[in-house]
Amino acid sequence: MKALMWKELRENRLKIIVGCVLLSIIGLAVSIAYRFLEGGIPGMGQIPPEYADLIKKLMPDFSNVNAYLYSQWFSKNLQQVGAILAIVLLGSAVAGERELHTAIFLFSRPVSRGMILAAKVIVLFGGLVLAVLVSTGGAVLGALIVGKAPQLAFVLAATLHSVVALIAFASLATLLSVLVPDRVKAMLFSGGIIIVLSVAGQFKPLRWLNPLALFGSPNLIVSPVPQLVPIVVGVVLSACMLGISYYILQRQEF
Amino acid sequence: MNAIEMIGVSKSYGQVRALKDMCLTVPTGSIFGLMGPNGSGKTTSIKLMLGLMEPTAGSLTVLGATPSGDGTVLRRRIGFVPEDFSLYPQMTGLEILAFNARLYGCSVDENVRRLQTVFELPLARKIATYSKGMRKLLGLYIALSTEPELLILDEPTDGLDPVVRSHFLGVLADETSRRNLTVFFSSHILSEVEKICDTVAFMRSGHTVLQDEVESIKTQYRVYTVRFGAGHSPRDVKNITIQRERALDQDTWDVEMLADQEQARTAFADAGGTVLNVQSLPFDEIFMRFVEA
Repeated sequence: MKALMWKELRENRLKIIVGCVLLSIIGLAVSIAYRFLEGGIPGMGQIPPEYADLIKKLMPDFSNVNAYLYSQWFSKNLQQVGAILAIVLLGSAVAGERELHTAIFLFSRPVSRGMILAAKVIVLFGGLVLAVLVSTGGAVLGALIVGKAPQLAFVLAATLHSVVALIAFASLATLLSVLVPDRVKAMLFSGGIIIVLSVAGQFKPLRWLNPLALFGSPNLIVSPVPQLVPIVVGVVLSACMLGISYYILQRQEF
Repeated sequence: MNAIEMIGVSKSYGQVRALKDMCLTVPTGSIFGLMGPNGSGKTTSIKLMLGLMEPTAGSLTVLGATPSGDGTVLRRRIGFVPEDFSLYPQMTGLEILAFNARLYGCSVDENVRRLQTVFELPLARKIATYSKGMRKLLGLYIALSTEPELLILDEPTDGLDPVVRSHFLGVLADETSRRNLTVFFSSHILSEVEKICDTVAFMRSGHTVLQDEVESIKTQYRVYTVRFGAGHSPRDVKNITIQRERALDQDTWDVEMLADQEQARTAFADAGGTVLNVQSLPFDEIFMRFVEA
């Protein structure tokens, strides 16, 4: 198991590092932009009044930094860029081995397919969670730089919800990586399904399909306690998709 | 005990039957060559032996175990070089050897260092920089480094230049003579099979059409020119399978068969024929006779 995890880490370390750095920069920038929305960044000029008024009209009330972080970081940038990272990392997990003809070497070694899949999931999910934690740290740091301190309980609860959501996306990408022997197609299908769910979730009767509604909860802004239902839904969906991935992989012929 | 036994094994992919009642026996300690044209079922047979696929019907045992049930444990005793494979290009030669050794539960030890003097590969370099020949050699190096009981090679020299091929086969011959290693070798390059294998099986359309020792095939397969008496023809020959027959004139025939010469002469005499001439055939032509039929 250790050898398999070492191999996964070695192969994916660059993707994980780039994901962590990119998400952290976005997290930092999103928080610093809070100051910008409040009236400008010192030394970088003021927002022209006509735009400031427009922004105030269009944007929600950001007097609460938790509300700002929830809407702009946890529900938007982290969810979107994190989903892309999840798809890039897991979409090529098994499909990449088949496409690059390393599958026949790997699966003919004396290790079970379950162990191979487990090593991939542990390392790549771990990389994804690390990126969420590091970048959320960046977002909090950015908020502190502009003189706003988000509530710790809120940050922890929202981070937990984001991790659950991204693990669900990663589990979907894992399933498609097992099903589709081409990593680009596996990634596109995974992304396509998430986009379709997000678009369908814009319509009221299908609101529950929206990943934001499935795994998140705006209640966190006022009551910073993890919400049981979205977390259970996320964990159960992830477990089901990983279970199906394992079942299919066990029966696949190489 | 036989290293590999296949009895009536079939394998279907949907409507396509890749293997049809395949039978094969690989004696322990032998270098066994499985020969057949492309698409005859060689790679499918190997994947079944490794437990990468399950047979649709029939019985298959490898080193006394059932691959589909005991695959993980069984593969620890097998070294395998696939036909069309890649190694992780960003790893160095040494890293892939260490990775493989850890999967087999052993360490990069003396055996790897001993083999390094044999293979002379630049192990500190990334695999991405290796030539095709070097990658094939590294594949064999990896397979031998865990001291397997059975080495399975799927068309290992396909696409190699003669110098690398000769080196590859030389290393293989040295390693098999060093210890009691069974080698199962699939190929369509007849000269190398003839050179290094002691037993071969010919495959055609998903089943074996012949299995015997190479020397036995070369010494027993003959073209007999036979004159038959009035009312007689090769069809009257009993107890021996005729591989090919060709009428030269009204009563003279060229008859090809795999049989002991004395037995063949007796069979022809019993069928009213007189043997006029006996010719041998090169190994590659014998192979063609079986797989073209």
